[in-house]
Amino acid sequence: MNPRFIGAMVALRLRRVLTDRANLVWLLLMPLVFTYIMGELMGDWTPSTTLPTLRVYGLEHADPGVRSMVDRLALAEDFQVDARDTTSTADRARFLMEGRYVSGVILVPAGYADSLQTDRPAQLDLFYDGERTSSQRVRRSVDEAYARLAVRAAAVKLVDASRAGEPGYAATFNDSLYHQFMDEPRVRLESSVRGRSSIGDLVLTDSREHSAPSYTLMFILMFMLMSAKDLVQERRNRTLDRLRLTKASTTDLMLGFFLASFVLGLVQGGLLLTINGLWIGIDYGDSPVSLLLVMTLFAAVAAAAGLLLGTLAGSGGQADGLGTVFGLGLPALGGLWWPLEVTPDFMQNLGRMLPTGQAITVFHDLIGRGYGLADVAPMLLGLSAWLVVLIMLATVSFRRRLAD
Amino acid sequence: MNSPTLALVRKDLLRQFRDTKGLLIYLAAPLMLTLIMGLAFGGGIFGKSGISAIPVALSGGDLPDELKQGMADGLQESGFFTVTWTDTATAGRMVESGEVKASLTLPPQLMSRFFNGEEVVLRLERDPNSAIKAGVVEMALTGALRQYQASEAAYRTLWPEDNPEAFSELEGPAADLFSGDPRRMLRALRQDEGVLRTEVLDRLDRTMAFSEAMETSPVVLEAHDRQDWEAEAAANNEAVMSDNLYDLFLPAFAVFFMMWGAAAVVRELHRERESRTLARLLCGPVSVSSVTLAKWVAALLTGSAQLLALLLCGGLLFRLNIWHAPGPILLVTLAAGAAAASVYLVLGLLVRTEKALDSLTTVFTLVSGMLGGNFFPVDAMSPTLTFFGRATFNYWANRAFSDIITHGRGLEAVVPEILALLAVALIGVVVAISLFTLRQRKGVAA
Repeated sequence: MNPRFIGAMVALRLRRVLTDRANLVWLLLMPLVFTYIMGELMGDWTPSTTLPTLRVYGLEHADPGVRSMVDRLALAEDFQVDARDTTSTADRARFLMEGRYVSGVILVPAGYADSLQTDRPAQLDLFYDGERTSSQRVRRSVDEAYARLAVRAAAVKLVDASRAGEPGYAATFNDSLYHQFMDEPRVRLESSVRGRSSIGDLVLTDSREHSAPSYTLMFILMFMLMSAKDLVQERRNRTLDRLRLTKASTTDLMLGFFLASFVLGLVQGGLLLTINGLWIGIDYGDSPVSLLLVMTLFAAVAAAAGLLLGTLAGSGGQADGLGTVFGLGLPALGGLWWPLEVTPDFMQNLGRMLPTGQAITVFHDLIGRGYGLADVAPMLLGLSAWLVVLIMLATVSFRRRLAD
Repeated sequence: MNSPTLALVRKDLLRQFRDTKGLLIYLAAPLMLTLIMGLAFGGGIFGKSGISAIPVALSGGDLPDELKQGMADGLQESGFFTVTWTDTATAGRMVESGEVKASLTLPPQLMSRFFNGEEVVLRLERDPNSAIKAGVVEMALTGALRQYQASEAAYRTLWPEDNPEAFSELEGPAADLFSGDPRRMLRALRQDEGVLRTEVLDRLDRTMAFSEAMETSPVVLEAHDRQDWEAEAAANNEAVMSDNLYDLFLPAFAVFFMMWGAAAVVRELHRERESRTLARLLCGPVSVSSVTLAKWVAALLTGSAQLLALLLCGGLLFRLNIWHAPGPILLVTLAAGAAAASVYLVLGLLVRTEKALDSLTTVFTLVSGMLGGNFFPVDAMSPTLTFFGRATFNYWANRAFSDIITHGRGLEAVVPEILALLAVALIGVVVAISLFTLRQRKGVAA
C-alpha cells in the first residue's frame, strides 16, 4: 500500500470538489433548503399572513348558540373566520372549496333559528376537503365546537321553569357555567411525549428533526452516486490508465477513490449536522460515539456505492441515470422522504433492511429516545454488513474494469 | 416558421432522441418513484394497504377483567388499534422502545372516582418517534372524550345541585358495584328509607331523561367532504373521480422529470457554444431569433413527448385516470411543455457556461418542485405553500393534471391553468429572444 499516493488522490479529489463552487449547492445548500421546506411541509406551517379561512354564511339566520360557536371558532390560532350575514348555497360553497379560496364553509340556512324555536331539527352544513391539511384542521375545530352546540341544544330541551320540580326537568341553563365546565372538564386526557427526559420538547414531533438528518443522509448518498461519473470519465479519458503506470497498485487506486469520497461524505455530513444543530437546535442525543459511528458508516457505505456504480456504469450518462434512480429510490424506500411508520409493515421491514432506513432509524433513536451504543448496535451492524458487501462487489468490479 | 428554424428543430430533436439511455432513464425514474409511492401508501401486490394497526398499551384503572377485555375489544374492533393490557411501568418501557406507539394510563380506582364525581385524568404517553400514529391515538381519544365532556358539562349545568358524592356514602356496596357486583348496592338502596334513596332515584330519573334528550339533538351538522361530492358527481356521470393513489403521484413526478428533460435540451445551447458550433451557425443565414425559437420548439416537443409518454405508461401500467379526457390532457401537456421550454431557455441564457447552467437548473428545479407540488399532492399544499407555489410554472401544470386526473374534471376546469402556462410560455420566449439578441449585440452570444 502506498499511503502517499492514496493521500494525494484524496487531496486532489477534495480540492477539485471544493474549488468548484457549484458543488457547494449540492453539498450544503440543497440539503439545507430541503430540510427547511420539507420540515415546514410536514409540520404545521401557518404564518399569520396567510391563515386559511373558514367562511360562515347566513349568520343573520343563526341563533345565539351558533353565534357563540362562531365566536369560539374565531379564537382558533390556525385559521381565521370570515362570518357573513348573507345566505349562500351549496354550489357556492363547493366552488369556494374546489377553487381553494377557503379551507371550510359553514352554511346556516334561512329559517335556522325559527326551526329551533318550533322544535324542528335545524341543520348546518360544513363543506371541507379531507385531502388538505388546513381543511382537516378546520374540520377538527368545527367538530369540537359543534359538540358543544349540539349537546347544549339537546340539553336546553329539558329546561322548563314551570316543571322544574319534576324529575328530568331543570329551571335554567347557565351558558357561562356550561362553557366553564367544558373548558375545565372533570374527565380529561393529558398527553405527553415519553422522550428524553432532559429535553422533553425535543422529540421527533418537530418534523425538522426528521427532515434534517434525512436530507443530510440523502444528499450524502446522492452526491456520491452522482459523482460516480467522475470515475467513468477517468476510465474513458484514460487518466486511470496513466495512474496505473505509476507504482500504484489496484488496492491503492481503489482506496484512493474510496477514501476521497468517504472523507468528502464525512465533511459534508459533519458540516450539515453542525449547521442543523446550530440553526434548528437539534440535539443529537446522549451518545456522540453512536452519532460518529452512524455518520462514518453511512459515509463509507455511500462512498462504496459510488465506487461500485462508477465501475459498473459503461458511460457517464449511465452513471448519471443509475445515480438518479438509486439516489432517489433508496431514500424513498428507506424512510428519508417520509417517516417509515406511515407505510405498511412490509415496507417498514424493507426500509429497515436498506442502509438509508438503518441510518435514519439510528438518528431517530438517538434524537427521540436517547438511545446509547448498545441500543443502536443492530442497525450499525446492518450498515457494516452493507459496507462489507459493497466494498467486495466494488473490488471485484474495479479489478474487472482494470483488466479490460 | 421558416425552413432554417425547422432544420434546427429537427437537428435538436434527433440529438435528443438518439440518446436512448437518457430517454429511458427520464421515463423509468418517475415510474419507479410512482411505484414506490404506491407501495408505501397504497399497499399493492406485496401486502395490506395503508397504515398498519397502531399498537397501544393500556394500564391502571383497577378494573375488573371483563371490563378490561371489553375496552380492549372495543378499541380493536375499529381495526385501527391493537391493544395490550399491562402494568404502568411495562407500558412506559413499551413506549420508550417503540413497541407501542402510545400508552394510556387510567387513574387508580377509575370507576369509583368516576362515579363519585372526582377528577379523572387519563394520561397518554406518546412514542417520541411516532408523530403520526401516536397523533392518531391522541386524536381518537380526544374525539371520544369530547362528546362525554360536553354531555357531563350540560348535565352539571342543568342540575348543579346534584350531589356527585351521593354514591360515596354507600362506600361498601358502591365499591362492589364499581367492581362489577351490583347486588349489595341494590340491597342497600332497598333497605334505605331516607334521603339517600330518594336522591339516588331522582338522579336516575334525571339521567334517563338526559340520555333520552341526548339521543336526538335538534341541531345537526352535515359534513360534506370534497371527495364525497366529487364521487357523487362521478356516479351521475358529471365527472370521473379517481380513487387510484397513483393518480396523485405520477403526474407530479412526470412534470418534475419533464423539467429536467427541458433543461437537457437547453444545455445543448451551451455545448454548441463551447464547441463553437453556434458561432459557425450564426455565420450562416440564421438569425438569433431562429436559433432561440428552434431551441424553444425542440424543448417544447421533447418535454411534451416525455410527459405524454409517461402519462400513457401510467395509463397502461397504473391505470392512471387519463382516458376520460384525452383532449384536455394533451392541451395541458403542450402548455406545460411550452412553459418549461421558455423558463429553462431563459435560465440557459442567464448564465455563461454549461456547468453554471447545471447548478442553476438543479437548484431551480428542486426548489420549484418543492414549492410547486411535485413532491406533495398539490391538493394537500398549505395556503402558504400555495401562495409561493403560484409563482412557479409547474404548480399550474400540477394543478391542471390534478383537476383532470384526480378530480375527473374537464377542459372548462383547467382553462385558467392552461392560460397561466401559455402566459409563462409567451413571456418566456419573448424574454429569451430579447436576451439572446442583446448578447449578440454585445458580441457574447456565441
